[in-house]
Amino acid sequence: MKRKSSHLQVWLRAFRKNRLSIVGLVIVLGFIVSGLIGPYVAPYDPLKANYRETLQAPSWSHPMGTDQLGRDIFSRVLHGARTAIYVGFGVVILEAFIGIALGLLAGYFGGFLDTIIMRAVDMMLSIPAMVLALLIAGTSGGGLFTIILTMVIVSWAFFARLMRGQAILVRQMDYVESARAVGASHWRILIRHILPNTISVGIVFITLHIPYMLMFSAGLSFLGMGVRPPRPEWGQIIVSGRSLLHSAWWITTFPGLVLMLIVLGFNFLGDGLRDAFDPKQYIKG
Amino acid sequence: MVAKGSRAVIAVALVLSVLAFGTAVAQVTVTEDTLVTTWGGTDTLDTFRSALAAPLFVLGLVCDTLFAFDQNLQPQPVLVESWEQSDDEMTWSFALKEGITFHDGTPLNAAEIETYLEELFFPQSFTGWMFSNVEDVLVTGEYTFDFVLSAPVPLMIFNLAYPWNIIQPAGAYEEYGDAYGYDALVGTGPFVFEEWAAGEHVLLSRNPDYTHGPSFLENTGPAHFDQILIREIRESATIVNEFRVGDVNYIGIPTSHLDVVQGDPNVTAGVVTNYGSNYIEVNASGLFGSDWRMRAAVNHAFDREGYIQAGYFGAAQPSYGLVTPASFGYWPGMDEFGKKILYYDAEEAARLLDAAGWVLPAGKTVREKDGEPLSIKLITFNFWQTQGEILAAMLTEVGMDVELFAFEYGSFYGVLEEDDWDLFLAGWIDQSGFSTLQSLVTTAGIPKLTNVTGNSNAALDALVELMNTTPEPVVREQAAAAAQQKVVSDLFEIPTVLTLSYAGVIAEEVGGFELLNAHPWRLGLILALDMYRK
Amino acid sequence: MLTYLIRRLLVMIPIVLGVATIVFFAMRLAPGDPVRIIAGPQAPEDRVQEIREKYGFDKPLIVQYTIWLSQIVRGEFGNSVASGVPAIRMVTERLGATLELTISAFLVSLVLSVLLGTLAAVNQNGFIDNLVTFNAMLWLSMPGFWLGLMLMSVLAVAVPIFPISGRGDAFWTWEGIRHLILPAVTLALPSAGATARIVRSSLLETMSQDYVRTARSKGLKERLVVSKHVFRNSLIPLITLMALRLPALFGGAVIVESVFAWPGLGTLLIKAVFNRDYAITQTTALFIAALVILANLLADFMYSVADPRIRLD
Repeated sequence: MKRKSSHLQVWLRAFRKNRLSIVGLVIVLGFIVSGLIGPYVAPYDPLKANYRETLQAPSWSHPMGTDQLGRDIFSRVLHGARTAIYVGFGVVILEAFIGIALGLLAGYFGGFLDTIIMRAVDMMLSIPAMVLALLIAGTSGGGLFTIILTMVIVSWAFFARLMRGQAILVRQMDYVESARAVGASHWRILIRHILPNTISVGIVFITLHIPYMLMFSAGLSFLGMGVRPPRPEWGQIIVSGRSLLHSAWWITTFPGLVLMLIVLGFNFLGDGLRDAFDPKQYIKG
Repeated sequence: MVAKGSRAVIAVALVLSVLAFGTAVAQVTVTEDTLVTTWGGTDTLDTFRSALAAPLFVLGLVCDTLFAFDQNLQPQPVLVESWEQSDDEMTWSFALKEGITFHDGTPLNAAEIETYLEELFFPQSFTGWMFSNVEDVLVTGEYTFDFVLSAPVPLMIFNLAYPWNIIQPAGAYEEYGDAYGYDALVGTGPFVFEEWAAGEHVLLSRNPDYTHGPSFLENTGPAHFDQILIREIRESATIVNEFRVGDVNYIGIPTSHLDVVQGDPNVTAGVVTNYGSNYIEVNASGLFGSDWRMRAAVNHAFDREGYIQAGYFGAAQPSYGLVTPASFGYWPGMDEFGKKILYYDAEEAARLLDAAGWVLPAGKTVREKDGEPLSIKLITFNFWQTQGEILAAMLTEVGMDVELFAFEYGSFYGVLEEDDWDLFLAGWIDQSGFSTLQSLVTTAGIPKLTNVTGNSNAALDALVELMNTTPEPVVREQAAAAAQQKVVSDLFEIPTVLTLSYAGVIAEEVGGFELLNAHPWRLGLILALDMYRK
Repeated sequence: MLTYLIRRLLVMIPIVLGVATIVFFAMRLAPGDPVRIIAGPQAPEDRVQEIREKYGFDKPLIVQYTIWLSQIVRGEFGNSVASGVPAIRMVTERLGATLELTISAFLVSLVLSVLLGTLAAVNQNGFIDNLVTFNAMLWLSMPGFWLGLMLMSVLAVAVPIFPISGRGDAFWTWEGIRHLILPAVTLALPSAGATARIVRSSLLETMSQDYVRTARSKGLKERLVVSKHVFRNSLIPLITLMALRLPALFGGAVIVESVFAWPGLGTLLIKAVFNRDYAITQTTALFIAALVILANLLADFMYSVADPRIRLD
């Protein structure tokens, strides 16, 4: 006997089935919580240089060691979580939103709209990211807002391109044809059919972009943009340990592990979300 | 449909492979007598196009200057046999060594020198200003020529020893045009430029006809190595790996890996005293410019020892003057004088700030005056990010709110022009203290953007002027000493540290390393001629 | 078909010009003077001004732009201020090395990601899936320089199987391949991880759709037909990703080039941006733009190859 489950019941079922996605949820929540309370629970001042304790290996007093300026890396990582949320998570959500919207519209409607959007995408993808970053920073100064703006502008095109491909595929599907035959509006088709069937790849791509964005912002700081030191930023901490891998390996390794954990968390969560969004779940036999 | 698709893909793949096919690969055979070293690469070897320091490494091996500094920073003849100054000091007469040819076969004679200097060097070189008083170059014989001056230039020989003032054949510039410095570099030096594989390496081979090395060398020519291969590697870990495990047998040691390299039993390493002078520049029109006490506070807030450990892994020494001990014009009493002023005392810094009206309100960390917090802007180059942060931390400790802006080199002049900075963590590498002082502290340096402080002091100008124009060595030294003392007393430039360079060789393979240490400049000559493969 | 192609190729011209124009103005509006950067802080200002005039940098931007346009039309891409040599030459000098590295990495990444993504999808939520997922996450979140230096320490220093750095001979020789392996793998792994995830997700997506249908049908033949269909549909995002990756063939491998001292375009481009070397950045942008457009065109074409139901107009 087939029964249409409510949305909530479906999601809960999906999550319970997939334990890893619960792990993912926990990790992501931990990330967000660290962003919120990190600065208040960090044991040391992340900015204060203590040049008598430089480059100390991990110990009880400094679980992640200290950096070239004697600062506790664990505290810096905690403080950096907030920036990572803006720069890693926030930027990616923004660019995903813009990119997915434009991509789906382009793929679904095709024709002139597709041409316009895709040629804009071509342009965005052709301009070397650093050049674009230079332009934006040069005209608007530096700071957090500039990096976010730069990264969104540079990367939305990837999402647009990806989702357009998906939309092209899905618009040929039978259920879309039949919905149109029945007289459903474009808007309804987009929301009810196109989006759910294309979003899974989008979600995966979102999670993949997070570490990429964090490392990109570290690269921007070389151009004098980006989060101004000594404000802790995960990408910068990782990069600062580059020439010290043979000695002070902990500078790059611990933040790197944290980053990897976050990415894992988002991915597991994303898998869970994908399963939850899967329209096939609604029809249980 | 499918077949067509795959055919298209194959076609594209073929095209791309053809493209890759078409490019030559640079292969070099490393012989037993090759010195293999590394560098970070550069844009051009043409001194008329770039005045950056990186090319000097190759220039020093391939080209000669007329004179070269010895260990005591006195110029010794290289291409010149003898010289004299006229009684009225308005004419310098030079006699070239005979029988020297450029690597392209052009003979080195007075006519060649005249053409090169008058048509290329004086108009185009970035250091041509050193010779602005040379009205005419007169050929007086096959190997003799005169400089006719419009005003006396007592430091003429010193200027001619400056490493950028190399002698090249005018014909080479004509032949290669814009590509000179990329496809070719011609000189009279101990090594011949063979090729520069872009992004990969520079290859030099021994010049068997080189016999005119300056007298202070153990070997005046030809070189012992038959080839020098300079590989372009930028990553410090890779440089060190190639040195310890690979083909490379001589490197400038990256400071991050100093411990590892020095601890390696197969390596002979040491300081090759190539001092870089570093200092804090104060914006004369900013917060610190108007009140000496503020500058003194910055001075006393600076902990040199801590800075050296944290910022340079110990590869630096405290600096007490703008001119380094390895530079011509250094005053030997500088350290003693400077130490009395330049010392770390956070409490004194606090007292000075209090006296200047900046007090620390209860419970706060930033000082205030008339309700305004002591917020300052510290700028530096992005490659001195860490050092900037250390300085910022030190200043924060005495109650300043520091905004650190580490800019990328390209934006340098833009940032300076904005003029909203208070302190600039800077550095300068120079062989000539005279040139350093003239550029950094005089009023004339302000429009040229070399004196970024904007501080104009007539007394200091007069001393530097005297230093550069007096024919009396004793007066010159006194003026130099007085100028350097004044700089340190005024604290518009606060000397911080002297960076040290370390080099290392694979002990089994390369000999003569101990000689490098004795000479602060022109390492190239020693490397080229005195060192050898074992 | 043909008209579609021609239309796309024609549109390419204004886009490429548009990109180059944006780059033109972006570089010049950003602070920093290319002549001063190369001349260095100790060069006298009057000499620097002479050089600026020689290159026409003192003229108003619009005038510079029109001059540049007229040069482009004649096929002159300008000389690098830093080296004096034509920018085209500096780019093509490094082209071979760059293509070797990036194409190898591209192919390795493609093969790895398809293999691993398929394995993971087929084994959904099982041990292999988790193993593959974990590795993919590891590779893509690892800093590139870390991966490269680790591989170097283990496979070139501790156990000297591969050379430490540099380019060997041409890629069809053993010496060349030896030098190519570590850098190519370092470059390939992060994107292989990412793409494997996408392949997995896409396969699961299409598989779930078709399993519902095949559950109702009977007969092996239909199953086979459906599986082939599944695979081709799931290719769509893979094609998109691979096409997106192609522009990185120019200037996308800076970190690997640095770690392994590989003489590639990435280093040249980054240096040119820092040096404000207009000629090199503009020329490279032109190349990249052309390549991006061709790559996307190719991808669109491949969509219709993968799924004949997709029409291109």
